[in-house]
Amino acid sequence: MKLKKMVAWSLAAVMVTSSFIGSSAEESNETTQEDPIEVSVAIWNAEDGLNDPEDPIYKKLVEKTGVKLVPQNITWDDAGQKIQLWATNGQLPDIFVGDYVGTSFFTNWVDQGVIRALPENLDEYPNLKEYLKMEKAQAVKKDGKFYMIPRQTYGDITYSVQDRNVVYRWDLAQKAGVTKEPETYDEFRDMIKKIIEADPENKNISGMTQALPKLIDGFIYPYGGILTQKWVEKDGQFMPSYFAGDMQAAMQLARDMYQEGTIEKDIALAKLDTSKEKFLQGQNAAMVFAGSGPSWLYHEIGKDYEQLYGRKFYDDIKIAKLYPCADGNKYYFVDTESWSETYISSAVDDEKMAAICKLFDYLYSEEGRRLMFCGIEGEDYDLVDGKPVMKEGVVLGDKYTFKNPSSSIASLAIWDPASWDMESPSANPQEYRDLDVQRHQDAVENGTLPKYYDEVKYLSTPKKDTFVYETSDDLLQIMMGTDPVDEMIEDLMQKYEKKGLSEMLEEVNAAAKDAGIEIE
Amino acid sequence: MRNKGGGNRTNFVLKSIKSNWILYVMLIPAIIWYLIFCYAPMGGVLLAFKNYQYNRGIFGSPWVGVQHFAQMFSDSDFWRAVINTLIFSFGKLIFHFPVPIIVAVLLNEMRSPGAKKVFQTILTFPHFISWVVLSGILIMIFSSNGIINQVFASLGISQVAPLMSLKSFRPFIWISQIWKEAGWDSIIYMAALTNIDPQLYEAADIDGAGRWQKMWYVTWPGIRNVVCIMLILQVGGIMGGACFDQIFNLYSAPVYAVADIIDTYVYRLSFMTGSNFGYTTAVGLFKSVIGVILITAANKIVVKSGEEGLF
Repeated sequence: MKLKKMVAWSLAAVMVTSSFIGSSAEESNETTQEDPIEVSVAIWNAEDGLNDPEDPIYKKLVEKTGVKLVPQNITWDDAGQKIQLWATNGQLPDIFVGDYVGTSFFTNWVDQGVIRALPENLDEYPNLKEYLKMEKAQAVKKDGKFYMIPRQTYGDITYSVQDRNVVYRWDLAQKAGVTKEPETYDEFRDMIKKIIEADPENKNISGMTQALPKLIDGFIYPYGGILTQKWVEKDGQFMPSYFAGDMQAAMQLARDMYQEGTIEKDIALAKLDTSKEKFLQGQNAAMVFAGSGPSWLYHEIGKDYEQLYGRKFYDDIKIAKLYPCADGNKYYFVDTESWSETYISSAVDDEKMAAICKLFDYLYSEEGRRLMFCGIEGEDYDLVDGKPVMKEGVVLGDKYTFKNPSSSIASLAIWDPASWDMESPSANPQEYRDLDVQRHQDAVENGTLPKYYDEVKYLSTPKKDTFVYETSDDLLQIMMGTDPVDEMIEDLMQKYEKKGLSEMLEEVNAAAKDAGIEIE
Repeated sequence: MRNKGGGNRTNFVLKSIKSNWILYVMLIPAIIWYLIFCYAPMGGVLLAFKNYQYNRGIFGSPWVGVQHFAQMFSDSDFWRAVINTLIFSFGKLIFHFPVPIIVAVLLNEMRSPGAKKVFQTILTFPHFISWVVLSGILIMIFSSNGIINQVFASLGISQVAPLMSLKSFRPFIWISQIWKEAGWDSIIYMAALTNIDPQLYEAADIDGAGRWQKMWYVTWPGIRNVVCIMLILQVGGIMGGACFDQIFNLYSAPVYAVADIIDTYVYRLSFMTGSNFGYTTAVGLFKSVIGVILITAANKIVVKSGEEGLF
């Protein structure tokens, strides 16, 4: 009797539940074609840019694309963890961004159906189709399909020099008796030493810090001719530049700088806000920072500095030039033209996929780019000879929620090209932007960029996908270590050998041969 | 006879439940919590013997036998993490464990109730600051421009960076943990101390016992049982005794050699390296099995030494 009652109750519960499900399904069928399609999106601090549905730029985007963006928030601190957890429990947003190409995540996601490829026929989306002709997109295709859309950072690889910059307190250097801006690593070290010794502002000033962990790689490794993000050829085989370059020279430089104090003692614990504050307060003689060139510092430190000290930021602060490295060449840090990518969840159905393609097609159009980075025509900018010219006093970040500087939502398809394309309008003062130009010119005119092979970097083989080398951790460990540098490097290489470095290289070189990639 | 005895016991239990039903009802949320968050996830340990695949989930992923364990035992980083975990936990047992007992006894000996409350509040307060916040504060204090180095500089002493040094990282962790938790941990001993019959102290006074003698012959036996239970729990938690929140927020690559514990190792593998979740589950399972062995052994030792055990 009791059993019968239980069964009856269970059936009733199931019927009630299914009637609700049925009604919601019916409701969704009633949705008209004109209603925007909701697409969930995970990009850094998307919420901050999407919390005003009446924002004019966002409204225009919805109107043009028929896509309503729903934030599934990630921040710079938790993005990696959140996306991996969502991938595991099936809660990925429809589109998400990150830097996963060349990692085991990407290969697993493709093989195990976590992410979905774009449609093979992109004729309906000409701007997207054209955009995907870029080298990285083509190199990372799997079975002829695009499983990600690169998010363009720079026009070409030489602009990548802007990803790692060193700023130093030239005003303090002068007070410490330095009369000439440094031209070499040794002169740079000497200048920092003099600033620390003189401590002109009596603030117990320390050596160089970094705005974020791992940025110091970009200053140290080029000294050994190492491009940490690239694969190169050495002795007739492809290998990561990390293992091909002069590791001894780079690590020794780091150790020497650390021991003499020109690199500050607690650099490994650097955090963005703390480092910026310390540099602003004159507690560090120099700082390595990332971002899109020296102009990035305007909003981060420059404005506050000028207010605090009443002096022009770049009168007091200089950007370190490219210095000759161990072999005399001026190598510099390079990443790729698009350091991160957009991915589409496999849970996205055909209808939503079409909407996403339409969204990106618009974002890659001239009109879409202008909406994202120049605002609304006639109100924020005018077209003069086909080029956007910003109106006086317009600061998009202050005016529109969608352009909130803390949110990357406006850069969903590509990063703001203002850092490398000087024709693109920017909220940064021209004098700051000029420094971006100078930095780039320094790389083009004086820098050395060894031949590298991104087509090998993007190859996927079982051993390559699981072989991990931590350039930053290795650098910090050897830099702060107490055993001789050469011994520590030997131990390090033995560790990597034990992890299968040789087997991995053999496998990758065989795969490269099969793929027809040849040494040039 | 056995059945009859069993029946009597069942009746006794039912009677007890009936008369104390409110207490049992209050227990339900805790039981549900344990079922949901501790027992249900145990199904996930299957993953230690599987190669996790996103599209097939935990139960559908292919079996790989003990492959992950073989990989784990051949990984030098894993053994480094195990050794560091043990060092941190044994260090905690040796340095941290006695401190709350001492604090409780000292507070108990204070004559002024007002001063006792003030000290107890001051000592307990750091417990309520999370490691995320506290680690930020500690990093600032000990940074190259922090107050410690400012004072040292003014005295002509060279800079210190305790969080960057292989020698000082572990002591820093132990000391900061004692500072943060000793006051809070002493509460349970304070509670045990209040249960000691005051007549025992009066009798000791009449017998002419001094303070130390009262502490040794009255106070200590009064809290010894609680100390034993806490010791069992501490030993059982040795594999998890190193605080993830604390170490994760204070460590960095230069001190991995002495700082990387099992939890931080698993975290890095899962979220940075992209290791298979099967492997990281195997590491977690290993840690739990060792924990069970340790808690059982500690309990047996305590019971054999004549004290009351946990089970």
